[in-house]
Amino acid sequence: MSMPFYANGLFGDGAGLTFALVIGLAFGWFLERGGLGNARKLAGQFYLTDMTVLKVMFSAIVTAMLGLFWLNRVGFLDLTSIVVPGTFVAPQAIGGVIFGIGFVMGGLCPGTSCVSAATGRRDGFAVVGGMAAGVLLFGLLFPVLRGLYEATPLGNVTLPELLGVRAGVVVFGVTAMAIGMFTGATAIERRINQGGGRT
Amino acid sequence: MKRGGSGRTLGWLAFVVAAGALLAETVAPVTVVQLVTPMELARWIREARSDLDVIDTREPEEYAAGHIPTARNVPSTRFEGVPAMGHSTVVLYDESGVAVTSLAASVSPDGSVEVYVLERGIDGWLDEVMAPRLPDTATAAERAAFAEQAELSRWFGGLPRIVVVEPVAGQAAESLPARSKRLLGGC
Repeated sequence: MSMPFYANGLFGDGAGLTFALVIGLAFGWFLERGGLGNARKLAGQFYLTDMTVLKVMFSAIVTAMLGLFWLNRVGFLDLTSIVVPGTFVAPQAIGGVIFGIGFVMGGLCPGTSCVSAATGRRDGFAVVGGMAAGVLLFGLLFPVLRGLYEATPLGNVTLPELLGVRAGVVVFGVTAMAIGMFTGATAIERRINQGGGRT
Repeated sequence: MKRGGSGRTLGWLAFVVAAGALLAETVAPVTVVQLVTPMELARWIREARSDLDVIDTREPEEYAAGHIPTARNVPSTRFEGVPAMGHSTVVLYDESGVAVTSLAASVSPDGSVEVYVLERGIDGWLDEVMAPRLPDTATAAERAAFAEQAELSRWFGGLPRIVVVEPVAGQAAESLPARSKRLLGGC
């Protein structure tokens, strides 16, 4: 039996939701233990004093990418059963800017705000509340925003399809980029923090 | 110092695994499975394409209970490549269009035959061809698109229907089958 187990009928709805809950709790616990429930630590990313966010995100991307590639390669995962969300260039670019502004202002992103709130931090509750308000506002304004929401569609494209290269080339390129960014981020972090110490 | 050392080790490990991915694809590219939608397959069958071979990979009793017109039965449990029938296009299907993808590569290793997997398998065929539904709140464009689908559905003896949507938010007057709900829920 190959993955995904839910799509292939190995898990029913109950087991699927139970595993989702367990994985979600583990994700939150590891985020908290990594210090990512603290807005000051996350805000350090924007001041280049603490590059933990960049390192965590790229570690997750590279781990998932290598895992998906090799599990598919050895026949243990059917990649065609994995949902690829649609790409809409303009609305997703605008959404990214709004997301970034909210991230800088609140010092937390959606996942980390839930972690922060779960540990009783008031700024975490404030960001979760703002996020819920934003979702509600978007829902109410959807008839007005629908034109923008569906603008500039590219379909359910992946990087290999977009670039016209094999998946292995993208896997290698993204991994090399991540390793380069880890090295660069560590150097910048060290330089900024040493500079701050002298002043 | 120790932390930096383990980071470097993990970095090198990731690099080696990624380089292996690059090499693996160079040596033997992964076969990409082509999908065909139920509507497209229905058009091909109605056109009576002589180059088309539709294969039902479910068990004989499931095939006997109902199958896509013109399909022949080659169960996946006894699937050792497809006996040559001289067709240039082969469409495989099973219950949901998932497990059958692993059989597609064995049909035509030399690439001389176009091999397709039916999107969502027999479930997709039943939902989109035999019982297509359109909410009564659909736009004019959606209704126009549905007209062609309904006409094709009737050709196969299907029952296209306009579903009345109750004014209560989020509640349809006629709920879709449980199987369809589950598939939609996965997205």
